[in-house]
Amino acid sequence: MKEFKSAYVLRYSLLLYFLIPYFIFLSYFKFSFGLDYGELFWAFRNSLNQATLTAFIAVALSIPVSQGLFLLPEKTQRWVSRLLIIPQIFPALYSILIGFSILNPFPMGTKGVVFLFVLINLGFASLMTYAATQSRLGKLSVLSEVYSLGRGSFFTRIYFPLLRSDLVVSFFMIFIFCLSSLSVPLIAGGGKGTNLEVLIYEKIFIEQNWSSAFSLCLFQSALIFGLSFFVLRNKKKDSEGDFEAGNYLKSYTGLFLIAVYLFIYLGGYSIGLIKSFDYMEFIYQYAADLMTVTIFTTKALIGYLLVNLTLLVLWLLDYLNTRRFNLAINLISVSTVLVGFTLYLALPLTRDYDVLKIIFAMSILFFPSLFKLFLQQPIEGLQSQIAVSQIYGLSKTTIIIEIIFKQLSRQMYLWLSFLIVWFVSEFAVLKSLGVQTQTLGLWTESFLSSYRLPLSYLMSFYILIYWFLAMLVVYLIIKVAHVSYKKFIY
Amino acid sequence: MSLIKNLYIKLDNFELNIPELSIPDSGVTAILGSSGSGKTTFLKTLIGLYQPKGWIWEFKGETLSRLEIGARRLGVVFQSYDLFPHLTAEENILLVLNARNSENDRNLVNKKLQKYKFELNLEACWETPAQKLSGGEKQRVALLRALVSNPRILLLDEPFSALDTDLRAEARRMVKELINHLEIPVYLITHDKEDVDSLAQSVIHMRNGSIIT
Repeated sequence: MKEFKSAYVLRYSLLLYFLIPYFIFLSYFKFSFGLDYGELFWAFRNSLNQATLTAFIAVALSIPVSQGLFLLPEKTQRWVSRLLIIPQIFPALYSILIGFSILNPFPMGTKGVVFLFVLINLGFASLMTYAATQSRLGKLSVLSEVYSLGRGSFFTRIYFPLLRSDLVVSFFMIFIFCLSSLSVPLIAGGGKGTNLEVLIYEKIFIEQNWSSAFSLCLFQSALIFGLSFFVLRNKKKDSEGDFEAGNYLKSYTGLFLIAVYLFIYLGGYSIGLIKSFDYMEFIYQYAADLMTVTIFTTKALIGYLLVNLTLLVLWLLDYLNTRRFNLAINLISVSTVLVGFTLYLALPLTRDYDVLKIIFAMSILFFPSLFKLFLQQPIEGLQSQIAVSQIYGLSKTTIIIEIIFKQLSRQMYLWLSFLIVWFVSEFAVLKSLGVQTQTLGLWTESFLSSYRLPLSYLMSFYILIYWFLAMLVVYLIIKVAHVSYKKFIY
Repeated sequence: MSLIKNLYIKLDNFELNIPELSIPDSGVTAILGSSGSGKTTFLKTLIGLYQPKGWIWEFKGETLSRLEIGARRLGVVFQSYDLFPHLTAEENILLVLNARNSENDRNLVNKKLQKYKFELNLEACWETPAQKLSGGEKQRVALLRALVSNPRILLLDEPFSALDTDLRAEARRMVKELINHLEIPVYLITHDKEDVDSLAQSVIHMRNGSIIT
């Protein structure tokens, strides 16, 4: 009974942690009837246009791109898939930099925002379509070829009817991502492309019109939750068995698109970076400031990692208690500005509270999505081993360390690695938190928004080096901790 | 007799309904049924993976249904064996042995372990990671793991179905020899009549989620 109660307390305390911004929001909430509805509809229309266009283009292009993947040998497919997901899981800062250096002058406004969103999401959408094709079509494309159905018939009678629901889910996932994104429209939206997220940001920090901001936040969150519910409800059906890609599912145009996409992203960044090395001398002028910013970012990062590791252990304990993941795992598309705004209101506006605010906000925003991205499936894959461990009465600590951590060390490092790079390069969350102190991400963004692109590139490279060194330190700490644990146990 | 009462579970497209069932406290009892008959749901409930409300499972004066998974002290060999793939055969067994036995009992169990290790012909693969073991070796390690766990009841879930036909007869003979000496009851969940004929002393038939009498 006591164990049941503590499991219950743990489950709901964890959920509460991720819902705190909403409670703060409700406690401060005052509805404003004096909303400027013209402005609201304009921003809403921009949000809808940006999200709809991006989702449509990304999903439409994902069809040939996924078919380009099927042309490649299996091993190459795995490698290219990993490259394709990079733009989505890498911080938006890098996509923005690439976009700004490829398109000169950059088309600020909806066009620019859509371009960047497509750049970020195309790889992800293609991998979703690629996975859906494998799970839905089985050997149907080969069979269609055997019976000489013809490519047109195959697509209209088999491919689209079977993949329709998956394509719709992909569409809405990207749509929600665009709707809840602040960083891209904040930088690339300009005056013409202001969307809801940016409008809320402007109401808070430029006009100081908080009551309007509250109403807009409510509208925006209701929209995101409603759509997320729709997407999550759309459960996958059973698969069609072993997959075999027939010729109907292979496309050279798709392969060409993959090459162009990867060249734009990886090649675009490399070229931009190489060019920016000519401006190296300018960065030396900022050496002292850079050191201060690095020290502050490091301090905050240490706290952030400790909080995330604690959350992970509690999350796993909760999973072992109830055999299902905490409900907070579904909070993956939370409005950045809502979290930032509520903590901006709730905590004092002094530098001393900056670290606390940053850690709190970023763990709320990033923990569920990064857990879902890197750890959910692998842990679910260990379900039967976990059940056996519980049957034989292994302690929860033993299960977490010996069964989960030991087998998922690669995924754990990936998870930690992205926690670090998302944290270090983040700027939109920090802006919406109203932090008074500079971080590496904020500094890079300030160069970017003041059109000092080469300095911004150099800073982004500095972040990559910082990321590598931070991972090295984390790796060494984990190794030492592991050896000490072994000594202690045996 | 072990007594089960009021066991009712409704899953997506399936219902398990066992108002009352008695299972002998010794020997091997086979729970026989075709696929979809409810054997796996029944097994998962006994283990504690499903927790239906209001059901009772009494065994030697204890209500096992009220206990948490680990506290039920069961030994299980699943169809897929479910060894910890990254650990060696020895580590798989020691992990469970240490978790289930107090320090005093460990020496006693260790003696048994040496005997079983020899009987089950596991010396050659003792230090091999579980993921590299053959099907037969995996089965024997899973069985040994269950035996050193000091269980109240041993549950065997289709223990021979993952083996080749040639290996099955040999495996049945080995399991039979081993469980004949056990003082605990064994529940054998199977769809294979041959398993029942060669191992079980009593049989419970299942169909469509119910017990057929």
